[in-house]
Amino acid sequence: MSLLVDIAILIIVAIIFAYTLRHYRFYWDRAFARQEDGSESFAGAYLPSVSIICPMKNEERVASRLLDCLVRMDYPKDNGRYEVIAIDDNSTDHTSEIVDRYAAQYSFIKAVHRSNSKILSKPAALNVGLTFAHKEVVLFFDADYMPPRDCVKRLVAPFADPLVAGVMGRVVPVNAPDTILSRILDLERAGGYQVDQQARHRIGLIPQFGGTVGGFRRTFLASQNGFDAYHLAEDTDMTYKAYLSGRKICYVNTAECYEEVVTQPRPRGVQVRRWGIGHNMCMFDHAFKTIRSRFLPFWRKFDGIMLLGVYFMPFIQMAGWLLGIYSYLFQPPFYRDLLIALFLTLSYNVVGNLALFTEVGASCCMDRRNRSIWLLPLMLPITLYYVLIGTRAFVDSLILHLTVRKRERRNAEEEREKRARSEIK
Amino acid sequence: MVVIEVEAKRISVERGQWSLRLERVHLIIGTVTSVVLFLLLIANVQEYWMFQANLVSDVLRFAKVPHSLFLLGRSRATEFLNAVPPVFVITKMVLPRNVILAMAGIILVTMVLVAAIPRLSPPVKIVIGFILTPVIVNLVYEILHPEQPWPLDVDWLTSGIVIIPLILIIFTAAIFPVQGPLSVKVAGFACCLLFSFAWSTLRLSLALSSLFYWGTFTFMFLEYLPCAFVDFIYMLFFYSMVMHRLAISQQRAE
Repeated sequence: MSLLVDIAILIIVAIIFAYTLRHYRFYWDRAFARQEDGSESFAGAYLPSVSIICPMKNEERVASRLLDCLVRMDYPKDNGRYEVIAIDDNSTDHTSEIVDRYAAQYSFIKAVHRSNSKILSKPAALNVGLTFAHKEVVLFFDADYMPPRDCVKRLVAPFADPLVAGVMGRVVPVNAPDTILSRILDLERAGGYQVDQQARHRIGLIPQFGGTVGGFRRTFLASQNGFDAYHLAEDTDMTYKAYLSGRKICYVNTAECYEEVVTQPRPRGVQVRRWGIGHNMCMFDHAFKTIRSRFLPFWRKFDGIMLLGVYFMPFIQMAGWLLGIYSYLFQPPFYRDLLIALFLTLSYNVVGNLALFTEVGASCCMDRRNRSIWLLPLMLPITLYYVLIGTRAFVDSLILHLTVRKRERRNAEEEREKRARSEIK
Repeated sequence: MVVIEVEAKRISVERGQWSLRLERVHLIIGTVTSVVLFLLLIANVQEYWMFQANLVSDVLRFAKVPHSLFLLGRSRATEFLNAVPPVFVITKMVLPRNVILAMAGIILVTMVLVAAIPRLSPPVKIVIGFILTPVIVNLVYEILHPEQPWPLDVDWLTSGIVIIPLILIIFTAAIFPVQGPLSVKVAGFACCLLFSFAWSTLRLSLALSSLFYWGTFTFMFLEYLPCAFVDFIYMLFFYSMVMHRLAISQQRAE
């Protein structure tokens, strides 16, 4: 037992160390390498036809703001090259009227109404939108986002490369000064996009489509039969489907879009838990496929697996703590000095992976947000909060995977067999 | 093709394409300094421990904690880098089991109450839980091993020594290569190392005093929580402080 616990702790430390190295690699590349992006030179020159899908559920407060931004978008709207599909997704407020008003006023805006739907999920709404989208590229914007005038131009530029299946832009919070949490989320976003995503894009790893401020080639979405309507992380799911089919996602750091982040910890917790469950579902679905993929080179596979494990890490960290406490209380091992050192090293990594903080520090420096750097130590309690929520999300996703999703899959297989049999008859 | 070139000229470099200039000379200076400091540390672990132990002993005397210090005495701890950790012989308070159980009960009830208060924000609850959990763990430790504060033996390994290479790595990898005045970096580096030494000396003194006055559970509480939290917080604080200064100087240079 003692040996097993010690081995488990060593494995956990090794995993955390691997993530630390990965983040330092990203930090180093983003901070000091030349950030030239080929697609930037195509911005404004390559202008494919675009459908923009905006799912809105009870968004009367922000719906007209987003639609105004899309109306003002600096993109040629002649010859039906630009269309906006505003989806009123089972709203019970005035969203429906707002959408209708804009559709009546502008010929390039289509209003789509969903009501009494069986599946009440964002991907289900997106799939409905996709049936109305007929342009070359499909972009998505959530209702609480504010794309600037050049955003679409910049986002579509990478599609000049036929291998590009999807793009993702940078998300910048506009309400950072509201609360301490929104300030911290602003830092998180800065580190996540300005350093993490950009480095992954530049090094040639796996930048991730984040569900909004980005999009896909319509033919690619059609080849995948749209989004999985039951998935909680349909964005990550589609990212992996793109890579596993030999295509890629481009991150465009200069395509900035502004959003309102949550300002209270509880809704943030709900958000992180939902993402965690969805992301872990992707891990269960795509981990082995990623390892076996013939399209992905070694480092892309490696990064792909680490990216899939991002929401598995809180569970690993929690396990490290519990094993450390167990060793401390019940089994002083024969090499106890090493164990104490390991326990502490683990704590340092767990409490706040320093590499992550250096990413945030570098991004603040690059964004010229000098005063924000002072807030770095405040990220600590939020990190602890995420460890707890992430652990719960992992357990939930595991249960969901082993029960509901297995049953769903079995039913789907039976259905397929039945259909095949009836076709033979 | 012409269109693309014309468009390319119109696109200005924005923050999405900025990067920090790599200060190669500073990076080399930082790396060399860190390596030299690390080698010096390895070569002088015994002296470092003896110096720190004498300081701790002075603080303990000030706190009226009776103790004996054996600088080169036989330790139960394994040798580390060919050095023997100094040994403090100290009388340890052993709390009665009933008191421990009562304290554990009070803390558990507090944790449940804190969790149940709806107005308290989740991160605050978690931080409180994070502080109270080691107390519970150490109360259990007190019951399981009332006479064996064995981690005390290896305390020296983890307190002042482990943190130094971590600071060296952070400054070498994340501060020295960033564009900005070398004086700011060196000053931040030196202050962080000095603070680390002062803090670990104070923490050890606090931990040993609590061992005498209250027993193992507070000792371990004072030992582990500050290790995991405060060390990290002050490293982060020094990192933020130096980065802030460097960011300002970069802006001025522009």
